[in-house]
Amino acid sequence: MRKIDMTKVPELKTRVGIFGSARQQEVGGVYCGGVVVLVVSG
Amino acid sequence: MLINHALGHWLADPSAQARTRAAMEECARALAGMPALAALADGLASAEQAGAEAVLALARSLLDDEAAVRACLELILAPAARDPYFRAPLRAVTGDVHCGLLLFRKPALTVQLAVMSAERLAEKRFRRGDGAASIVFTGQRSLFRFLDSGGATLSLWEAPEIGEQFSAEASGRCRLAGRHCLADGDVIEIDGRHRTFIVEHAPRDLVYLQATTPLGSAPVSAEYDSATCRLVGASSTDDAGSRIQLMLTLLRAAGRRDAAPLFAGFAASGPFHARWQAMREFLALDAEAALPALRAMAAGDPHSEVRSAAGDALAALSDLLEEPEPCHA
Repeated sequence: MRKIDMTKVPELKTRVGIFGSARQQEVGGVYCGGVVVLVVSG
Repeated sequence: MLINHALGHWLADPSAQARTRAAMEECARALAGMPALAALADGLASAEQAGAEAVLALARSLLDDEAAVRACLELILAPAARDPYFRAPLRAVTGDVHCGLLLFRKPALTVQLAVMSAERLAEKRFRRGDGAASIVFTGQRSLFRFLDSGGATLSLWEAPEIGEQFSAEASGRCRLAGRHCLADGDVIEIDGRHRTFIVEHAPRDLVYLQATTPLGSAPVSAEYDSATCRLVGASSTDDAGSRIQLMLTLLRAAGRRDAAPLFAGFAASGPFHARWQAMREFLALDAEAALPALRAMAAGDPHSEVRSAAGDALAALSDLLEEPEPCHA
């Protein structure tokens, strides 16, 4: 079995974060209106 | 935690706690029996078969029924008024500027009743100042009904549709499609694959119902910079898929080669970014086992970036894999 260094495997040009992640704060729309359940309790 | 006199009594009184629990259970039963919510539950399976439009049309029956929504609230408010330790037996949803309760919660449809705080919106903008901010296209379809418009003005935005072939290179720019002064009772459908809105101005809090379905959603949500209107990032719309990615990383880190069929399966299904991430993990777990799937990916994956990345990886790794293994004797 060969082990390879994962950093040698290219990534996609289109980088996609995990569910609910964001690069910048939202201006104030649908997202912050609650499509993504940021904190759920109860 | 500071415990005041009344809470101290309640914590020391098992019968009081039992009464609170019983009231919550009774409220949950009463909510489930509400005709409007029961009708949603009954109709969901067949609507789901028909797709997102049918699911949102079904949800509209609740969104349009203010009496039913009021009745749901009354079921919660009455016991809450009698018992300060009573909590609504519904999921609470809170974000930066809004809070709400999920009146209906199934995988194919959620309906929430929420309040968006004008004060928090203003505070958020003040804090942000001239800093970077995003216009977000969620990738999912939602139906909003504004019970109290708050006197708000929305700006409506459009972007190239996010599809299975989404790429940063072809994401273009978002653009302002118009403005809308909200009135009480307005219903707005947002197809988050290419439309979104921003609350531009809100003198008062907004109260709204929001139905959302993940059916037919785009593989990613897309963030566009509000100043340049260009894409700044994308993230998965699939909660479970993101958890699977983390689990594959864990399995790879643990050296679980016996899980290779799982890696191969996820590299051949799901959204484009998840396929490639599964392949990267597979290659790092056991490159030789991953090679046939990598070749298939380079030759025939439906997404051009995945084909290209697989081809590059194949070229970079082929020489390495054809070399004899170093002898450690």
